[in-house]
This record gives sequence, C-alpha cells and structure tokens, in this order.
Amino acid sequence: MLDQAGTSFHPAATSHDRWRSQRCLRALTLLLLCWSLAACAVSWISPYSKESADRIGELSKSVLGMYQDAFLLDEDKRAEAFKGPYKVRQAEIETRIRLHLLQEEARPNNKSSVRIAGDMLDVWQSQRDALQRADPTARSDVALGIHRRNMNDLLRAALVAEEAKKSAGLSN
Amino acid sequence: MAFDFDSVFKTALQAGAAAAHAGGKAAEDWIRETAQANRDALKAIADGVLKGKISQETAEILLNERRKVLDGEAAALDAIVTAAAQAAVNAFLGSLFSAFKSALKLAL
Repeated sequence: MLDQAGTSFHPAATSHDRWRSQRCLRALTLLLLCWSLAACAVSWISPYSKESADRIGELSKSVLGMYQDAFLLDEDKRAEAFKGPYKVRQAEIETRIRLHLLQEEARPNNKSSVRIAGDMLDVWQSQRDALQRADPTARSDVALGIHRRNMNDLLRAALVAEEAKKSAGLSN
Repeated sequence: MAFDFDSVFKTALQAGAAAAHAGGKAAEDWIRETAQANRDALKAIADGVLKGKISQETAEILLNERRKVLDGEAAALDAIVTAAAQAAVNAFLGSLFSAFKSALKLAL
C-alpha cells in the first residue's frame, strides 16, 4: 500500500514506531558527528620524542664537558690543545650534531627542531674555526665562556621545543 | 533527554581556552628567559671588548653566533606556540567528541 508521495505506508504504524525512528535518526546524526570530529584532530607539529630529548641531553654533556675541560687548561696551553686532542673531540661532536640534524629532518612536521639543529651546527662550526685562530683572545676565558653560553642556549632551545610537544599532550 | 548543545559547546570552549592559556604562559616565560639570556650575553661581549679580554674580530664572531642563537630561540618559540594551538584545537574537538559519544550511548 502506497501513500500520495509513493512511499510505503503502514497503517499499523504507531506513535511508538515514529518515536523509535526519530531516535534512530538522532543516533545516526550523532554517530556521523562523532566520526567527523574524530577525524578532525589536527597535527601541526611532530609528537614528543624521548629519543630526541635524550640525544640533546647527551650532546649537552659532550659540548659542556669539552668547554669545562678547556677552562681547566692554562690560557697559553689552549692553542696547542685545540690543534690536538680537542680538535678530535670537536670533530666527534660535530658528527653527532649532524646525525641529530638528520634524525630531526626525518620526523614529519618538525621544522622548528630542524631549524634549531641547523643553527647548532652553524654555531659549532663557527666555534671550531674561531678556536683555531692565531688571535690569543680567541681562547680567553671570556671568549670560551661566551662560546659555551651560545651552545648552551641553543641546546636549551632544542630541549624546550621538544618539551613543548610533551606539555601539549602530543607524545609517541 | 534533550541534547544541550549550548552547554556542550561552552564546555568544549573552556577546554580549548585552558590549553591555549597554558601554552600562552609557556611562550611568555620563554620570551622573558631568552630576553634576559641575550641581554647577559651581549653585555658579556661588550665588557670583554672594553676590558681588552677579546679582540674586535673575536667579538664579531661571537655576535654572529649570537644571531644564530636568537634564530634558534625564535624557532623554539614557534614550536611552543604551534604545540599550544594544536593542544587547544584538539582539546576543543576532544571535548565535543566525548559529549557526542555520551549522547550517542544514551540515544542507543
């Protein structure tokens, strides 16, 4: 039996049936809303990475340790040290910074951490060259202190950027 | 039981605003800390030159390094702000999602 619109019509349909179909329709609408909201979560920045934070921590230990050891040397012995054993330590640290940069580049939506790692590499290379110069003030306590502060601030920026991802509730 | 959309929306908005507020505070703290650190570093370079502890050439190298440090600090600020914005949007959507899910359970 058809009604005027041509759709099926059940004369036995009660108000209870209509109530049930309305309820089903409402549930379906909510289901669609839930589904669309679940798909709407945004991801503008990479999730927190403990490996990255640990890597920055290890880098800090090496960089700050090298400067701490250099401070213990007399100023007139530093030039020789930076041409010998410290040159090797600088090269090792540079390799680790390059590796850190590569690993940051491999993470999606990670432009801030990549930029910080790139700056870290530039500053480290600048310091490597500066500490080799003939200028005796290049390795003075004041110069070493500012070089160390510069690396310290960059390492801290890298850690803060990583921790921001954690405090925002984004973690692997 | 009627679904109170206004109340659900208000709760979701509060969840988003709380997340944004926490991120905003972190950004403000970071700006303060880096401003102080840069002030101290630039003062140390200037003092070093004035007292003859570092040459003009060394000072220029240190200043160039500092420019890179500032760039890195700005990148960290970018990460703080982006993470906070993402947390706020997701807290808002998450709150709406859980309210709809509860309503769905009742409807079924």
